Amino acid sequence: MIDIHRRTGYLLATVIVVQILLISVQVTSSSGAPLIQTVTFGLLSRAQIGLSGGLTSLRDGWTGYFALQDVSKDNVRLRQEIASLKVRVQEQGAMVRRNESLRDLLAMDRTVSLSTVAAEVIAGDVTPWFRTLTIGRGAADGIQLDAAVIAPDGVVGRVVGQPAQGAAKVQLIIDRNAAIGGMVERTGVPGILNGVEGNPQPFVDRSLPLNMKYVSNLSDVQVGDRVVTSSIEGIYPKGFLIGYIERVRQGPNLYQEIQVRPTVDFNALDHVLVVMEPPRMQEFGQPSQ
Amino acid sequence: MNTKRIALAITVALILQMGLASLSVLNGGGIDLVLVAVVALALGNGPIVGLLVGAIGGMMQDALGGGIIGIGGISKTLIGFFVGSLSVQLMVVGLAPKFLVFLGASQLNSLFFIGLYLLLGLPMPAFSFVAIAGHAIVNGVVGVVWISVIEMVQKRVLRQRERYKFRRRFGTW
Repeated sequence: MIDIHRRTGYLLATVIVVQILLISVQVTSSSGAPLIQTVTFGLLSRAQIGLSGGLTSLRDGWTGYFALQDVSKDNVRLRQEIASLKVRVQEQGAMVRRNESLRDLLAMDRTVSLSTVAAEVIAGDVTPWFRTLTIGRGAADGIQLDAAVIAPDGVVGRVVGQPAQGAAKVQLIIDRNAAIGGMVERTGVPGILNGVEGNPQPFVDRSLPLNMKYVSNLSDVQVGDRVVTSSIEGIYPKGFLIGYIERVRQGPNLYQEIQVRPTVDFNALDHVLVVMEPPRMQEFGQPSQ
Repeated sequence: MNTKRIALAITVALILQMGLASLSVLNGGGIDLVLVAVVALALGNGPIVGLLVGAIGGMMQDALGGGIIGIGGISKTLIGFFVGSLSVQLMVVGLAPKFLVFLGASQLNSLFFIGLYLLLGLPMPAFSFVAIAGHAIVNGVVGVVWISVIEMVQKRVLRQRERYKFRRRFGTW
C-alpha cells in the first residue's frame, strides 16, 4: 500500500493523468459537443440559475425596499418595452432598406418575420479567457446550437455548445474566435468581422473593437459608416446593426485595416433575444450555375 | 484544517466567483478567487491538499467557463502542488512574501493555461502579457486580504475560547 503522504508525486501524477485523459476525450470527440461538457454544463448551469435567481431576488428586494416597489416595477416593464420596440425598429429599418434596393429586381416578400425568444443574462465570464455569457433559456425553450443572439442595440453573438435544459452559452462577437459576415451599409462592401487578437486592457475586457477583414484597398469605406450583418455565414439575420467604423487605414497588401466599434454595450446586457430560425437560404444567395 | 473546511473554502470561492460573474461586477478584471483559494489552502496545508483542491476547483471552473475541462484543472493542480511544496520547505510569513507567492502563482497559472492550449494545438483564448500581469497583481491583493481576514477570524475565535475556559475555571468576579 502506498502512503500518499510520503509519495505525493504518485498522487500528482495520477491527478494529472486523469485530467489528461479527460481532455483527450473532449478534444478527439467527433461529435460537435462533447458529452461530458454538455452534462457538466447542464448540471452546473442549474447552480448558476439558482445563484442568479437568489442574487436577483436580493437585489430586487433591496431596490424595492424604500417604498419604490411600484416605480421599480414600472421601470423594469418600460425598459423591456423600449428594448422590444428598439429591436422592432431595427428589424423594420433593415426590412425597408432591403426592400428599397431589391424591389425593382426581385419579387420579394414585404414582410420579414423573425421568431425570437427573450432571455435573461444569468452569468458573465467565469474565466477571463473567453468572452461568453450564459442565458437563462435552453433546449427546453427550443434554443439550438448556433442560434443568433441579438439585443436592441445590435448583434450580440451566437449560441455555442449544446444548450442545457434551462440555459445556454453565448459566444460574444468580440471573442477572438468568433467571426461574423458584415457589410458597410452605405456602399454594400462586404467583409468578415472578428474579435481583436489580444486583450489590450486588463480591466475593460468587454469594450473591445472588432477587426473587419478582407475589404479591398480600393473599396469605399469611411469612418462613421454603419456596418450591418450580411448573413453570409448563415447564422445571423441580414441587415442587423453590428457597429460603426472607427478607424480605416490602407493595408500593406490588398486589404484595408478597419476597426469597427460594436454598438452593443456588452458590460450592461441584461436581456437578449434569441433568433429561433436560421436565416433563409435565399437571403445569402444560391450558388451560381 | 479538516476536509469539511477545505470543501467549504473552495465552494465559497466558486460561489463568489460565479456571483461576481453574474453581477457583472469587475467582470474581466481577472479576479480568480478559485486560484486564490487554492494558493491559500496550499500555503496552510501542504502539497496534497493543494493539488487536490487545485484539481477539483480548476475542473469546476473549466466546466462553468466553457473551456476544455481539465486544462484549468491541470494548471491549478500544478499551482497547488508547487505552492504546497514551497510552504513545506519555507515559512512564508508576512504580507509581502505572501503577496509575492500569490503574484507568482497567478502568473504561473496563466502560463500553464496558455501553454496547455498551445501544446494541444487548440484555438488560443485571447490574452496579452500586460493583462496577465494585471490579473496577477489583482489576485495578489485579493489573496493577501483573504489570508489576513481568515487569520484575524481565527485569532478572535481562539481568544474567545481562552476567555471561556478562564471563566469556567475561575468564574467571574
